[in-house]
Amino acid sequence: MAIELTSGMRLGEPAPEWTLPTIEGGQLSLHALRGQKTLLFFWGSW
Amino acid sequence: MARNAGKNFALVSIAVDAQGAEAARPWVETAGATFTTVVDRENRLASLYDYKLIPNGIFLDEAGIVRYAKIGGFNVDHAADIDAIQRLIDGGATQVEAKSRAAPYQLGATERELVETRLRLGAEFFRRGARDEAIAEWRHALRLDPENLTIRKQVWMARYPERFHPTIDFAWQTGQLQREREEELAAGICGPDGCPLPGAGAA
Repeated sequence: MAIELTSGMRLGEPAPEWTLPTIEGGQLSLHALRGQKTLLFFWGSW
Repeated sequence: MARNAGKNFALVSIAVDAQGAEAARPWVETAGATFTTVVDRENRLASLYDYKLIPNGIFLDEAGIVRYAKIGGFNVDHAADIDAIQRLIDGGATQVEAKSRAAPYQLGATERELVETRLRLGAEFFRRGARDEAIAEWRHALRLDPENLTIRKQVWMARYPERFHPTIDFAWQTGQLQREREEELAAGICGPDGCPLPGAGAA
């Protein structure tokens, strides 16, 4: 059962893909995390 | 979350910060982090994942499917949040519903694209040291998406850096939010119960 959370993301459905720079100067894509459970923690220093 | 070492589990922290890696680094180093941190300086994921505030926790299974999403107030020191994540890691639950603050409105596709463009332009101006131009772009984005606290705080951080360094003045933020909301209400931009935007349902 997919429960609507938002227009961009739903429980039970794939998370939207992204690629972002890492703090060490590399790149990370969400799909590179496939195969393991992952917690995405969104935060700000403010 | 050291007890989860060897459990096929990854923690990725996403710093929502126009100031980029330089702003995020001290926080990550203070936490003694062993996880990967990425920086979203253009605030792209707010639109992609449709959130208007942070901190958020989103848990994905091995196939990249969303199994838990707490938007706003996610805190790894809160028992309820950490218990949910632990159950998902250990396999005691495959999916957990979290109490999130509901988004007060949905942006239409055109508005969403405009907001993204303004945020991208703002981040680029800011990167080049053009602070006023950056703030102007972010304010345009905020007008289209007035309940988006991630944009509002970006403006504050650029406009009032003394409120963020060396310490973050949360009392000031509360007052400032109220002042700005009153101004916006007077200007017909945003009411206390939401924002009647064209093409977007009022709250």
